[in-house]
Amino acid sequence: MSDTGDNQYNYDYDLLYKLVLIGDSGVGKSNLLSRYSNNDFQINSKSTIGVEFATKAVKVDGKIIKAQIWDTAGQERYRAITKAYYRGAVGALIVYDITNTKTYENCSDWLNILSTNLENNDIVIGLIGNKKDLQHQRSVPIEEAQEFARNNQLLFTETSALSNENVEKAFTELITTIYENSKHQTGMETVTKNNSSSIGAGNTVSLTKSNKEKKSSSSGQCC
Amino acid sequence: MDKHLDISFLEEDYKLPITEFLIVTCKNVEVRVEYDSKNGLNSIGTLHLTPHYLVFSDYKDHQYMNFTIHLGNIRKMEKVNNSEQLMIILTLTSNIAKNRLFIRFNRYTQHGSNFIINLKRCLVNDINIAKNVMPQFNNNLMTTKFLTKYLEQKDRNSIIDIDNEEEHNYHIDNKGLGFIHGYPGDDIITKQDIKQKLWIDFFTKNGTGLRIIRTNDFYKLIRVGVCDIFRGEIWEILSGAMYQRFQQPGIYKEILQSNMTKNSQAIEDIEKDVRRSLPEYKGFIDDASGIDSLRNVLVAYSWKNPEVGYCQAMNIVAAQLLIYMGEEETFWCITQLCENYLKGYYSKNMEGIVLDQKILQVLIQEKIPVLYNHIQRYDIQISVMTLSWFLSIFTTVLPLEYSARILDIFWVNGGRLSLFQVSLAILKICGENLLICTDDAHFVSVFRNFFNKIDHNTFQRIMVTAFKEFGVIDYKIINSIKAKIEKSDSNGNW
Repeated sequence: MSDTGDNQYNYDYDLLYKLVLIGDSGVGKSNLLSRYSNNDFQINSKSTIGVEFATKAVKVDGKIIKAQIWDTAGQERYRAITKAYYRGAVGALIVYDITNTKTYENCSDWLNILSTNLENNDIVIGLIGNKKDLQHQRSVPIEEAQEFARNNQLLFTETSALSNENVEKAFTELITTIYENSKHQTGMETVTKNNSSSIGAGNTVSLTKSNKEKKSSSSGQCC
Repeated sequence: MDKHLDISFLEEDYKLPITEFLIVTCKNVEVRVEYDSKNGLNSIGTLHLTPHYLVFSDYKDHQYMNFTIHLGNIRKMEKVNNSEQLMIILTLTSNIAKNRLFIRFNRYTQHGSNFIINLKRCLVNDINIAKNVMPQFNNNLMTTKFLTKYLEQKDRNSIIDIDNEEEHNYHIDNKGLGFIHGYPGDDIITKQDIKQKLWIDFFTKNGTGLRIIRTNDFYKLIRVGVCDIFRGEIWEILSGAMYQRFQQPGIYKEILQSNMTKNSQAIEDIEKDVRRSLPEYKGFIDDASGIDSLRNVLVAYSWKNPEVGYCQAMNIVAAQLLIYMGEEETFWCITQLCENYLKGYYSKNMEGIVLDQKILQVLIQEKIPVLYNHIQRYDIQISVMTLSWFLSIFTTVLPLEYSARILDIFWVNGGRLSLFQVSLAILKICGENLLICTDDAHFVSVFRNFFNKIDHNTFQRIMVTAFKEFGVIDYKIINSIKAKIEKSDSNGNW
């Protein structure tokens, strides 16, 4: 698996995966996303209101997969509004902050929210303990999180968006697992079904159309 | 006197604190604001009296002349009662402007003399405020301080006073981070010097603070963008925050002090966000003073109104306000925002913003049907995209100098209305690009591109489209859509 280069212009993909990043406010979702999609980390980023997204194209098994990753506001009162964005997702990363126990404890809530809002039971979920660079302030033991992940059949990685540790790994693992799962099943149809438009996931995305859209929306600053 | 029964208009239309109530109303009153022996402005309208305020609004369009004067600013009342007319002449405090108000009542009914009796009684009640509280309050206003120094310098025949650097910088404490870190935008492009002169002219004619006379010129100056240095005070006046601050002096500091040692979920949430509010502005980077002010304002409000507590997006709006005004002023503006202008937006279940997003959908259907059909066809979740526009009053998406311009209008138009109008304008202007998008991600990208590249001309286009083309949308329309949605919601149809 490798990055296919300038993903900003790359619309020539085989599969489109919609992924969502969820978890409490301030755990570092937006920075994980900017680190992964742009190799960028901003000490002074802005809190996310509503939704944001970024894309990255990766190669798995000779296929180019475009990951479209959605990032949402983490504060509790926003949950009801932003859950509209879970539909069509084939993967999710639930993020907590290893220095903040509460954000870890809330992961089971996030898990519940995901399962009640998704018709797609095949969604692959990863648990991410972020801010790994702050070892001296750690309050969530890695073993505990590992066990929680195992019990709930979640992938698990500890990451640091700041020092760029395991970020790529966490996303890659999620994407490959989704891909592997889909191979074992009848294909991606189960996912496409959940979504009436071309978004979400599936191998039916019209590439020519995407290219045309790209040109007319101009400037290439798309994703 | 239909309005006697319903006094909510005092809060809704005039932004007065809920403790004010209507004592008496008089219709068809002629008011002349006298600027000097030769010049003045005449108008006819309705006059209301509350325990502490004299409120006037003209019949033409409410913006030809209106005022909400605190009685503590009336220094003298003379009564003229003869066979020809019943009139009172009010002399207002003259810290900057020298005004007298000539108010002529209908001679042939009892309403006028009844009004005068009540006004006199209220003036007597407020005499202590007039003598001891108001002068100090007036002297501390940004406009008073600035103009006093400005006029002093002008009197000195513009001799450049090199020894007095301080005075040249008009150094005034705690009046917004812009004083220290500068204001967003280019002063030359936004013509700050011209605007400043025009506002100074306006204030010297019509006064400031709790005795300002708002004329047609006032609204014209607002529409072209308030001058940065006076912006905070204008926002405070328009939003009604100034009435609150005046009525409850010291409350802000008291709330902060009495809760200093306590903790709460809101405080935890605030702490996560204070450094993530307006990182593009110097005053909010690292440990700049703005961070402490922002924390103070948000924490104080979370204690003042635990029902709302703290909602993400309040941080961004409060940060924007702090560029133009002090902490206490920002605290009261946030109060007005949460409890008057955008009620229910930041509350725990955010019912106000959810409803307004539904209203926006209906407006899109009515005003930009092509786009609406497209959104329906491709099942685009546009409301989560426009959510941040509304909650942050465009501060998350527009450069600060432009979101400040939107706030100028926002306070005048009663808030939500301008959010609908500006959103429709943006959707309309982006329309062509949106119509070729077939999914949520493309929509988000089009908006992102649009906001990243926005310049003065595009912003002008938004303003013109919002307030000319969509200017026809009013609260009557919004409320009727709201009623339909609520009816349909209760039937479980939405």
